[in-house]
Amino acid sequence: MQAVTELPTINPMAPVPHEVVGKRRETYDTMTLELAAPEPFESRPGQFNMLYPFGIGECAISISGDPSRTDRIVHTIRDVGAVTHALHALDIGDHVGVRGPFGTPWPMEAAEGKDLVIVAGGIGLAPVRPAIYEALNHRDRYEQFVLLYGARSPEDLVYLDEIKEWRSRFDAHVDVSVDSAPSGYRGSVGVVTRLIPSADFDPEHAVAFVIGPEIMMRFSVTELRALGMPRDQIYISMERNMQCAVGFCGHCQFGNTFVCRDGAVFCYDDIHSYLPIKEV
Amino acid sequence: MSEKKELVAELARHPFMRGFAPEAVERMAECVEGIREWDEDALIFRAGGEADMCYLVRGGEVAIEIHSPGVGSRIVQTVSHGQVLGWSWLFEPHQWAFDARVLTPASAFVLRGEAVRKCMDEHHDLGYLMMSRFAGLIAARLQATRLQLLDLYASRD
Repeated sequence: MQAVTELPTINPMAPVPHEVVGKRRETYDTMTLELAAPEPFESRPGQFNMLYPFGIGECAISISGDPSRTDRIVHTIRDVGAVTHALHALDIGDHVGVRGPFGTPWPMEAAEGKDLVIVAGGIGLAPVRPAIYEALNHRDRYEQFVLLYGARSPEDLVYLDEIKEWRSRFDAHVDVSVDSAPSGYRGSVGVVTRLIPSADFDPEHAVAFVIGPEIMMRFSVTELRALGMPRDQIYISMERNMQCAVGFCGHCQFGNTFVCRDGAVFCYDDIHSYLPIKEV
Repeated sequence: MSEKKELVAELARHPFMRGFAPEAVERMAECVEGIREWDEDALIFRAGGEADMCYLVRGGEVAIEIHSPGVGSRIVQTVSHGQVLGWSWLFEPHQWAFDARVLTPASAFVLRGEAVRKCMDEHHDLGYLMMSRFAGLIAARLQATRLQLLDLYASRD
């Protein structure tokens, strides 16, 4: 008689309850939640989890913490709908269901020995923060480190303390710009794409990670390309309606790929032809 | 090196002048009134004022602001090293449309607008080059303004 095959113990569709152990307000509509990992949580920069506030629904949220810390899982969440609103309402000691990690990571190894240029817009700084930690924790692996971050207004800037710390480093070029600001604001004002031409990096010997609203990414890529950066050295993180996170449901189909399974990080060279097609 | 040669050499190093032939830089240097410096919060020009100067920023940061009654002043853009501040001197009615306020101590080459326009009229190659540069600048700022108008980072739900 044939032995019964043991079922795998990890079901990617089953959420595992995690306790909220930290909560920090970033802006008027954005919060960072810290969850205790019941067992060491291994993830790579750029991956995401599915978070499930019980009884409300699930949504894909990028991991925004330091990947070298496996005892905590950090997510930065903008309050934009029912599920994210419920996540914002969680208190320390509450539990939330977690599935993950899912998705492709930022290709840190592709940038080793080269300049690393990160262009982030809005809440897009959160999904790329693990890559920033990774790069700064292993600073000697990269040549120039450039972070260009844009937001809607000074009130929308997240991780202000860390940005200040990163800017104070002599081995990092960090520029921040907001789309508009009240008189008296002392920072740079204008769209983030205009920071690209004046940043200090060698476009032919650099790798770029670009994340933010799709239009912002398109214009950022245009600037990078105008400087001479090859398409296969640019990586972008796509956003689509991700529901199952394992490529079953098809909600996040993007051309011949599924963003949840084949992305969210893609090499621009692989998907550039889909971007101008509005039906995709 | 004479003072004039020094000015020409320094002007030639400004990013806006990249690609200008040496004689074109010399002609532009003839239009330079001087290098000016401003302290924080100084007003370089005010909306509605006569736009008689062209500024090539050498350092510091300058905010382009607009005031709306009831709303207050908003910064719509900042300009820093290597960039051009203002083009109203180039087009009729030569009147500034925005305020320019210094955010961090700034310095700029100040060129007399009328002299630059005359030079462009008399030397068409230089005039074409200048117009091409300013058209590129205006196109880039128009594109940036469109992106700002899209309010890309706003919540969509």
